[in-house]
Amino acid sequence: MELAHLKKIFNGFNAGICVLDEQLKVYYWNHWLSHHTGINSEDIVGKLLHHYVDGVNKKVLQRKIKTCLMLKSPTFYPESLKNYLFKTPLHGGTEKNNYMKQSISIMPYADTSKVIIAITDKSVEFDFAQTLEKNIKQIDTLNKTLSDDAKIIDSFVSKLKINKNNKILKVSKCLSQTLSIAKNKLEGTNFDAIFTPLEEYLKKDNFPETLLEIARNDSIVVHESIEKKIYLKVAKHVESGKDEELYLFQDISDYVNLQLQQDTLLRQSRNAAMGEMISMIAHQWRQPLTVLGTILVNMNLKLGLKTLDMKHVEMNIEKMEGVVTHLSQTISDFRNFFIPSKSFEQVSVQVLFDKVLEFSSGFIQEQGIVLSTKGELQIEIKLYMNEFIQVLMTMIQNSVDAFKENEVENPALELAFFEATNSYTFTIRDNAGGIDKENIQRVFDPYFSTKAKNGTGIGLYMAKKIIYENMKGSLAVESKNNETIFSIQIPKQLN
Amino acid sequence: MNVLVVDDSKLARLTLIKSLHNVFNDLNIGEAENGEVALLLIKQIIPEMVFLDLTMPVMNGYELLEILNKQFPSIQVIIVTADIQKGSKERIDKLGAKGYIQKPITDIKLKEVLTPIIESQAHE
Amino acid sequence: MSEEVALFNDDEIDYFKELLNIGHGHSAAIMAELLDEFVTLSVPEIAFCNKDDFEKIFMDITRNNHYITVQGFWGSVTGETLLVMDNNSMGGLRKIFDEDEVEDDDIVLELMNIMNATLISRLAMELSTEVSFDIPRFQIKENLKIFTKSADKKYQQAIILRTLLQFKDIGVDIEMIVFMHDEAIQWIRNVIKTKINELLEWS
Repeated sequence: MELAHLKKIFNGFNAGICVLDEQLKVYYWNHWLSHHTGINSEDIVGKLLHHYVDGVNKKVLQRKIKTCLMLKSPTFYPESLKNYLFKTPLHGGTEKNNYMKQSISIMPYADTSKVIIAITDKSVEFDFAQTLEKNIKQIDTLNKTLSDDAKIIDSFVSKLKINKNNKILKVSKCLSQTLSIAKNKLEGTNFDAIFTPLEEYLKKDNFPETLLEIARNDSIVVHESIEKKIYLKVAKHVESGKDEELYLFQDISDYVNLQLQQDTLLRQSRNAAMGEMISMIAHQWRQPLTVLGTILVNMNLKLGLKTLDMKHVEMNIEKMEGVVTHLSQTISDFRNFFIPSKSFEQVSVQVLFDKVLEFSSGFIQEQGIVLSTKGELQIEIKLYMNEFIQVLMTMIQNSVDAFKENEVENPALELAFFEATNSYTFTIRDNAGGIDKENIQRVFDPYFSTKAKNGTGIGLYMAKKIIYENMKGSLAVESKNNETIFSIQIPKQLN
Repeated sequence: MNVLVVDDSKLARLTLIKSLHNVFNDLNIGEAENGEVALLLIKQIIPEMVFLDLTMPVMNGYELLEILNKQFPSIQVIIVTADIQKGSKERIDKLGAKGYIQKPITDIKLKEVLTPIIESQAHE
Repeated sequence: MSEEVALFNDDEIDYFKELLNIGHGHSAAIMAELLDEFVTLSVPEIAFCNKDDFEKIFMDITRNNHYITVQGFWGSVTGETLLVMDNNSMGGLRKIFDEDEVEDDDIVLELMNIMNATLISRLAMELSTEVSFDIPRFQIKENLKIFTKSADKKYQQAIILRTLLQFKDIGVDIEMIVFMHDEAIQWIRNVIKTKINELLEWS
């Protein structure tokens, strides 16, 4: 009764149960096994397993059974193993396996030389485990990529995290290197101890326009150390729900320093130009002042000789008024010239040349330079007049200086104008001795001068800057046969 | 009869000694914890039988067995071991052991192994 | 309670080591018979350690490239055994098994089962009790952290057994770390105490 009961239980089991000996002779075979192998119990009991069932790994199975008997303890063949102990086809296999993945336990059968083998189908769990494993591998790869990316970002992007109390929580390697401050000295410090907003910073010193404008347009902070100042452009990013802010920095120190440098150059050039202007005024004033002096000496003489009459006085007053007016006009002219004009003017080339020559008349007369003009000077053109005059003046001044230095005998200066389809060309030609091949490359460089003394070297650099940037034109120099020719080309469409 | 028990474990020695007394009477049993000490004792009083553990530090069982076989061939050496491989048996046979007992030692096993040896001795 | 457990006296340790020795010897015998090769078993190094040493043990395992398997056992004595083996030893074992297409995993799990089952079964037998065994499984190094955390909670003591199985000219270096629950250790100690007392009383 009990045996029948037990048999029912084993036949109801959702696992294979059989009893074998070391030779693989079958003593018991349950329903599950019959169902999955297609061989009934009555057909296989008493026979050798591998004679009736395909896909049995005889060698391994026998080894396992032997081990179990020797150990007097169970031995196992888990589903994780790739090879099959019993290759059982799956009815409607899964995507990956066509054979059942089995967890097999081999247990000693009491004190006999037989074993009980239990076989459980683990195909579904095995699939699941494999998918999990694959996903884990993918995640690991992703993690590695992310981690690699993070390293790259850390090295190349300047960034930091601060909390709402403005305390720096974390900095990237790149930022630490940019500032030349160790990470541990930055993390935990207050943001304001390291960085100053540019606007505040500019209040301290007298800073040029350029910087003020930059400060107004972008969010920029400065870090000042003993050795240098670092300017950083800031992009903020608030991480929602985290009470932290992420700042990304762009090092614009180079750009700022360049701006500062150019401002300096501009200032220096202006100062130099101012100096030149003053000397030109002085030059212009020499003759009229001499005239004034002569008139006064004359009057004094006549007064002494008691030959001074009203008519004479009136005449002289008129003359002196004329001179004073001329003196005053000279100042006005120069001052007007030096107010940067942002307004576009239309003027004829003739008028342009006249103005230029008027300003330089002193020098020209003094050195006895023969002046000539060429071209259709009645043509009217639109340009930033004062800037352009400054450029022409610079070149003329250079020629004048060269004439003096080289003690040229018959100094000649020619101003020419030529209208092409899309542009205007101005040329200034002198016979002051030309420029050496080596130097001609560098004449437009800042701080380059061949003058023996008082050469600031800024004039031509600034001239080039004005022509190229403000007027979108071009500037060139040529030298041959003791002559130097500067040519300026400006496009017609100047809006 | 003089008997020497050689084993590095005090308790193992005790177990064997207890068993010996259970199974046999009239035994004079000495102890040594390694081969070196054993040799010293043997040189003083030559025992008829030595029980030898194979796995000992400082001169293991095999080494002592070899020495005893050469220098004291009259002594009957019984190897006591947990390791009962075919190969081990062959080896200890070659080295002149009279028999072996597998650990753990029980009175029954002791009787089984020793009875034939003692009987054969009695016949001499 | 763990402090009490830690204090096996010298005699008790001696006895315990003897029991482990016996189990160990038997496993060598089985290996030899199974593989039909003669195995020389070195004297196993046996060390007892407690919780504080666990971290170092796990670090050592992860550092050297190892095959790591775990098998649980339960009964009066409950615990888990970690079996650790390096790659060189794996190479040696493969040669010994000498089956075409035998899988590494199969070999290692078989080894685990044999070494552990014999050791613990014998121990149990000497202590007049029985144990049952779980299916041995692999422990991936990455999950060793999880194992470490749970070991920390469950166990106060562990026994480390290092042995070298020498098959002719191939050596297989094995380390077994047996974790046991406090109750198991306590139980073992009580049994051992009794047996020792019997012996000592008699002498």
